[in-house]
Amino acid sequence: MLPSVKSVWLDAFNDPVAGISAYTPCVHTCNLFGDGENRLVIADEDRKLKIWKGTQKASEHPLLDTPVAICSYISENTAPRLPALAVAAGSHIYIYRNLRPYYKFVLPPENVNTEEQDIWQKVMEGEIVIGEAVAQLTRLQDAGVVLQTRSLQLMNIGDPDAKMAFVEHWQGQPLVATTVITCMDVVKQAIDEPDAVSCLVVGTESGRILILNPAGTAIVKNIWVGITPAMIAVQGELDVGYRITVAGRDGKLYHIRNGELSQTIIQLEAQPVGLVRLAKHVAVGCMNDVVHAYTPTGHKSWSLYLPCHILAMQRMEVTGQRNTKALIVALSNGEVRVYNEKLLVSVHVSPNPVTALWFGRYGREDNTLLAITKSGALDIKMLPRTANLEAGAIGGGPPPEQEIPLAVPKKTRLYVEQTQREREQAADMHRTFQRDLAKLRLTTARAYVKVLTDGQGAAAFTTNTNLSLSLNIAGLGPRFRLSLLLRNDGSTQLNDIPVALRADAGLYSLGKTQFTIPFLVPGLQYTFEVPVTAIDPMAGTGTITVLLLAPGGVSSSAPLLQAQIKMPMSEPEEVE
Amino acid sequence: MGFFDKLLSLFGMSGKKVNVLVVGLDNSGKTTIIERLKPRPRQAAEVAPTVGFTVDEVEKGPLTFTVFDMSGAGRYRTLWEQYYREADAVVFVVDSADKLRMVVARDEMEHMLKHSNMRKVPILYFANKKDLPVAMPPVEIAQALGLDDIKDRPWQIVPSNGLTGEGVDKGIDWLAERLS
Repeated sequence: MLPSVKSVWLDAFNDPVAGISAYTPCVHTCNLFGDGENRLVIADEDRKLKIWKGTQKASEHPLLDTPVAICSYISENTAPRLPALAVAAGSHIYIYRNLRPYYKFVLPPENVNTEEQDIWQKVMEGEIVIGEAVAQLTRLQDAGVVLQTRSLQLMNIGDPDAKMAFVEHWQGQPLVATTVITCMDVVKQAIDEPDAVSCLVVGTESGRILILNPAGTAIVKNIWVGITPAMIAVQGELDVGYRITVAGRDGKLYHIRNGELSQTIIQLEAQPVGLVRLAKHVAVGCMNDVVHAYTPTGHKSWSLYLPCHILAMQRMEVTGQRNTKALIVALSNGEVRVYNEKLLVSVHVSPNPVTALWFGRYGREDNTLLAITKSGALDIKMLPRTANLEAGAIGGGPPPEQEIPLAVPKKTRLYVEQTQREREQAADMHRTFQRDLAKLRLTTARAYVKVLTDGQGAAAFTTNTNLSLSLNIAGLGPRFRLSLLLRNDGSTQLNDIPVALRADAGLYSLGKTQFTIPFLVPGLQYTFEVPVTAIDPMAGTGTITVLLLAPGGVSSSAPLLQAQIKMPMSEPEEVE
Repeated sequence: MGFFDKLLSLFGMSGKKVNVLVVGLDNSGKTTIIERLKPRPRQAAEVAPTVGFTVDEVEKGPLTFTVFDMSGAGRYRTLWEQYYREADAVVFVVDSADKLRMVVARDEMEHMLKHSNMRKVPILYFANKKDLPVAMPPVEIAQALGLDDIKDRPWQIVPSNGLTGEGVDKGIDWLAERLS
């Protein structure tokens, strides 16, 4: 089914026992120490920040919480552009500089329902018993209030003693609504350059998108989406114009344009599993193994139907001589595919399903693909300088013949004159054409009428066999003699021509209603006679139709020739 | 070589000119190695990444090397093939410590050997930066680059240290022997 698409990658390094467990948002490369050699930074699920340099792990740093996402960005315009590394975990963003903890940003608390707060206040002060508090909380929940985790936990504890201990545990601490980070990305502040000052964009469990200032100390934009963002994709610059595509937990795509939530909401067929921004589109991978690409206005451009589940998606922004923005998709059967727009340009199979992908500069090589597999292996591949990712290079797409220009002849003098004439006498030509068209219609109509009326007279001829037939009636009645004068005007003789005669059986009786002409020699006049008797001379007159049928052996039911004669009024029978 | 040429070469004046193309990935030490070929007073202590290419003339016994020091940066590598036709010898510098990009070096080398303008000229490989603790031995590098498959032209791999000049002369001597 697949065209034989090969891998474009060079296998640089593979460590099957790297022991990494991470997903795409937690893998990143950056110029960590400002020495021009990019390090691989992995925020591992085992709460460790792992730094790789070249083919070896350089260091490990413990994290306080399970990481959600990591990013690096330039926070200051000062001379050594040292990127800040941001690790999102729980409700905090830990910002590292030079791999040293530098700052911790805490998400602001959300508003808490006042009634819920009151209940906790009372239960802590002992004004109401725990059972009463739980009943009130249940009522509140039934009324549609979204309760805080602490309340839900209390309601779920079955043992009364444990309930007591739980309240005791939180004694004196006011009820606050903490939220956690679900996704994180970076937006450039003013200019789109690799080392331009950027800001963090964070999605929270409470359904907000927050944009931080470059230092990461304060929120400059707080956008309420209303649904928990699962993934975000950012395009543009904060000061110039930006667009954030949000894949929500409810399986819909939301768009934020310059801080405003757009009315365009895209309902996906299935839950999104990956969101990648490309050159002109945003590609969203869904659980039904389809990748859809949407334009910024929300129109769908194309879809890719994949053979099995999507495990990871990543943007492939090739730098250097080409500026291709392609899409890398890792599938559950171990395949890693590269799509340039809709066209599959590379496939390679990993022995283990890939869970995390990163494409970027690693070490000193610009176009490097880093893949982490389910078994914890690290695989590093590099894009060779000569790799061709263009459409049409590897099968598919329009055929190469399309690119060959047609051999259009040169503009001759005749052609030029004709064009000139057409331009000057367009009106005349149109009129002539219309007149000819009318003539054609008239001819057609005449031919049609002829077809309808043919064979209605006493003499007839056909064109395709060159026969002519004329009918004569002799006698006064009631006995007549019908003579058929038949002449073959063609060049070949005709054999075995059946003749059929038709008349109103109530008026006339025919001597024979059918007979066969054995032979018709060209040029001779044949005469056949058929006696006709009028049954009742007083009954009026009718017509007799003579049909010459197709010769024997020809399987055509259409008569060759048809002639009709109107019978004269019959004399009454003489009684002797 | 006639008697007169021999006499001239004795005085180091013969000046048979050969074009040597120096290629390799960025940061492998091409410019540094060329600096070590120059007479000591003319050597520069610090080198900056080469942009495009630079041309130097170096005398080595009876030969005058015209050295084309190509930039190894990705965007300048297309420039290499412009000089294949004139090259009488190629020096390919490999960073022994850069295990990760050995495959890229191999890819570039294979493209170079396949190129139609490239004649069957001798190739000298410098396994540079041999002083670094993570440096690969020359045998491993030769294996990683698939040098054993090169049967149609003479080649040699020499471990070197561009900073001290160790091994550089040994390699250039081999090249001079091939070319004279």
